[in-house]
Amino acid sequence: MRLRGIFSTTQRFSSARHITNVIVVGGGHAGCEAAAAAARCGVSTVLLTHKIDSIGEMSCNPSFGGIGKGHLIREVDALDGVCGRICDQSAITYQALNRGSGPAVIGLRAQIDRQLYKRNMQKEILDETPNLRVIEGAVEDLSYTERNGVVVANGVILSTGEKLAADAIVITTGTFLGGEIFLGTKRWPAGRIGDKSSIGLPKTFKKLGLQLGRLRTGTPPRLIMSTIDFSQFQRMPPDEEPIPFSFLTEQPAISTEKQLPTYLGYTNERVGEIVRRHLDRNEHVKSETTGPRYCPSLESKVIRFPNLQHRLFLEHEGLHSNLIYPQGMSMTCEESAQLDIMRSIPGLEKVEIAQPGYGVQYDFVNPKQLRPTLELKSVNGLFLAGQINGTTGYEEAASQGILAGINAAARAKGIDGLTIKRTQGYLGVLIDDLTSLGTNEPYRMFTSRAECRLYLRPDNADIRLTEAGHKLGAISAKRWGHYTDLKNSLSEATNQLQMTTMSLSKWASLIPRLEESVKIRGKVLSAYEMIHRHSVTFKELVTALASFANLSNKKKLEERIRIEGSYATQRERMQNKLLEIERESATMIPDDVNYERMLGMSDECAEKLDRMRPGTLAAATRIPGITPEAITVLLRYLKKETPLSTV
Amino acid sequence: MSTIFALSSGALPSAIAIVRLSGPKSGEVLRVMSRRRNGVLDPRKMFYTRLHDHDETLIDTAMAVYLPGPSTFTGEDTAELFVHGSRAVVNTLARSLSQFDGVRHAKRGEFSKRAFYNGKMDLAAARGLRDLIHAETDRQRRVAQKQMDAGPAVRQLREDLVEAVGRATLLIDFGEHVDCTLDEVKVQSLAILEKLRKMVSSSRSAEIVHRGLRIVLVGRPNTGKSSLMNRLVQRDVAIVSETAGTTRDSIEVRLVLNGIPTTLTDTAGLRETDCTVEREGVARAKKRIEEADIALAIFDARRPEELAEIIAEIESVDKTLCIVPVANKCDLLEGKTPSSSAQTVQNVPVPTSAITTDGIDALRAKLERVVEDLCPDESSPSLTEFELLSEALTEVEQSMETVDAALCAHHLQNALNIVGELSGATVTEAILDRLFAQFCIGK
Repeated sequence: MRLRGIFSTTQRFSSARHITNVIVVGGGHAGCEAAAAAARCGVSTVLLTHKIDSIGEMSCNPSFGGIGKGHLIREVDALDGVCGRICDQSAITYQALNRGSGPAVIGLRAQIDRQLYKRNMQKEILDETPNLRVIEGAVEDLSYTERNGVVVANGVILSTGEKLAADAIVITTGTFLGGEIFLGTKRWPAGRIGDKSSIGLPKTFKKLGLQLGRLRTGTPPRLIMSTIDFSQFQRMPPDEEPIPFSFLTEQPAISTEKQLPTYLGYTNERVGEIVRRHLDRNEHVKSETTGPRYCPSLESKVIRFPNLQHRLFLEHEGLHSNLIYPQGMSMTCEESAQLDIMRSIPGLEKVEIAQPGYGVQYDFVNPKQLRPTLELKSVNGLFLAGQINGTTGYEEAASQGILAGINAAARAKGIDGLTIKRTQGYLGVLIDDLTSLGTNEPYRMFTSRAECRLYLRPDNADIRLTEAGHKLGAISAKRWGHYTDLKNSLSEATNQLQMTTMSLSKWASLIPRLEESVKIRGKVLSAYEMIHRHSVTFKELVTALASFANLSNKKKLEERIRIEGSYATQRERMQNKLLEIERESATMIPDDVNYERMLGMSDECAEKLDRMRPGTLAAATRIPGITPEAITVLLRYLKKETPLSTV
Repeated sequence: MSTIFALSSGALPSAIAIVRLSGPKSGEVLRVMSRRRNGVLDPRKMFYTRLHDHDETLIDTAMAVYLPGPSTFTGEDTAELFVHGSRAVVNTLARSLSQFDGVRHAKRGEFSKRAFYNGKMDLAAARGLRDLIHAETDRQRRVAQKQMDAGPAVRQLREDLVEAVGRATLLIDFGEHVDCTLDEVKVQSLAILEKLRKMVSSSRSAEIVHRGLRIVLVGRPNTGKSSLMNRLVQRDVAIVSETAGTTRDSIEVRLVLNGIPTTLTDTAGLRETDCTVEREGVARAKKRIEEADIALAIFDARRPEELAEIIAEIESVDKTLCIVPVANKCDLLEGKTPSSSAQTVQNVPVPTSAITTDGIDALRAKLERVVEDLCPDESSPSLTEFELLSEALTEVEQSMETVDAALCAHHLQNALNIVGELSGATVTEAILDRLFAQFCIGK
């Protein structure tokens, strides 16, 4: 057993000794966030991994963020998580998506150097996080007590037979739970290529009566950079003004000039042909397991859209890496076919594959068995986070990890945990979707899943969440200081700007540029309104009025105030809608409800509801094919309070 | 669950007033008030009784009946009290009922809502009931029916909106992988905008039929507006005198035109005045013009130059208002035909005399034609939900104006929510609450 950490000493544990408050199993994106969060909350924490060297491994794409996903990173960062900061230390290309679509749906995104990310994350976890120790070992089983029907988890049992006890346990084993790799006609048990999967834990989960399902995902082949003719691709340069992930980052570690471009290309008919020819020699595709609809493999794209030219992006795996990641080319056919496919794309005629693409199938725990704190309903003290809950993506994993870590610490302290509402964050949407409706495909975040898209923006994630995290002790002193300073200057500036009001003709006399655009000259507007209605800048205000001198060179503040102002009207109008969403999310449907016996419920809807078993009324309305009549019947059932006759 | 009560019969005073109770305490309340504390109430059998207050004072003598659930309108235990229809009696009774623990006054539509939740009524029946309660004339009843037929058109509109929201969402969530721009989304929204515009304009007339028509009489003081109104409704409602400015407040009368309940409002003329009371009257007249569907511009046949001024005044308040010019006091013209500088071929003033009643029938006929134009009794189905449709229209318009994809999708989604509510495709607690809030109290 290897042990490292700030307090690391070489020590042996007698069996079943209580060594720590919280144990986090797994060192991926969910595990790192969970362990760091629990430790930040001030409880002694152990991160248990089968291999210390793979802590912070980016198993699939060499990038973080994207639409909806960038929002999640900002929310993790608002809760003082680690991934946003580590990304900013390791990013080699910032390319935000949706820049033209408005600040509510901008997709913060960057290519990340795998090696740098891993190194920086390991430094953070192993050396720079107080209260956190890292232990190497494979978990085979859980230890728990059962009294009066209440099951309480109290430790883990390693493959060596050793038992480590704790108050709360977070499992973040990703695709390692019963994981099996598919490559062409071959298949073998593994969670990631070259890593053994976990066989014992699925058995334990079954013993605990948990419902498991199976999902699949895949990864593309890795190409050797020196064998590619990039001139055949469209060069996509890094953003001139990179937007960092973390609220704490002033400047990314690698400057724009040193960043690398990405390259855009397209598939063609020949690619489709080869894919089709090899379909019958592709075990992964033939199996029934549900794959990710929105990050589909090349095979499923070819099957569903045979005549389309699909986009593919060539992405550098690192600043000094000789590997290229072909995004959009996830495939599981045999190696020789993969080479044929890649070589039929212009510019890749001579390409060599360093590691073939492959598919993974793995067990996941039906997330409807979780509370909104990510603790299992049926096992106190046992938390699950990441792919094990049926999600896909680093960001989805990290955000669950931070919530589970904070709540495991709360469990250890014996205080109430943190729950995040749908109206409060994408993280709230994610958790509510998973726990109220479950999932039957790998769940990924989209902005369309959030009803309050205009409010849940990357720019205000700290205002939405940092205080909630602070109440649970999850925010470090440094972050808290940064946040309170920002909040104060934001509210002071907003106040100052709102108090300064004058007619448009007066504004036009102060800012000559406005002369032409201003029409209704008698209208009185505040400086706050001028910023988002007439694109007035801080600089113009400072020049126009001496009283605004304090606002010079406050670029970040200006940006935030402009964005906030531009959505303010819609937000006020949405308040009622928000209450409605919260009320319907709070209307619970009992677990034992019998849909078939509900008066007036159609057979079809009863069957769908019975299969999905939504946890709340709001979740029921999100099930495709559920008719308004069915919702009415359900509403009626839920609202009927007491028996009718009392005489 | 509380027990609710409300006056379920019409406005007071009346011969008899019916107060209905629904909820678990209905029986107990009736037993206590009728001093049958330990007695048994015979279900569904009306009985004569005295009703007593908590301090034993007599409220009234009444007929009462106890109806145990679930075979009642609400599905709950129900009691009905038939008392004398005076305000004093009903108020005392209400006060006394409120003093029982767990008994309170019902909110709008609460009886129907309970009936709905107890499975006594489905959503379609609830909507139908609402319209039926509000229908005054046969034509309104027919419009209510046609509104139900508007279903397919609204459903189509909803599907179009679902697609538009889908496209906007696709653009946001998969912009990287699809070739689609916000402008393309907007171009495809144009068809929706057109459909909605048509629906809004046809719903306006349906809404007029539904809520009733409002006609305002406007003209210089002492041009005989009040007398003319009296003639139109054939009874004396307005005070008529020789002094200019007699009508200071707005007076309303009701009549039925083409099967549409119509309110005629007689207003003080829109003239400059120093008298405070009269100035207030002018302000009110302006408000009436704003609310009206048709304005009668009445002028003295001997002073045709007045008409242009009156029309200008009306148009200063509402440019699109339909104006019918009326040349009154024709009996004083002594054989000359009325003329007006402002008259056009389509808008020839109707010559009338409120004194001799000449031309009153012609005016009525003219009004009926105008009403017919305004609210054609065509067979095309249309919604009466003018307000909601206009809101949806505004949302779609806003979605076209923004360059922010999230705002565009937001406005389209808002429009979809509204149309979903109209088509019955979206059912939420809030929508049900809104529906039942349109019922009267006591239903």
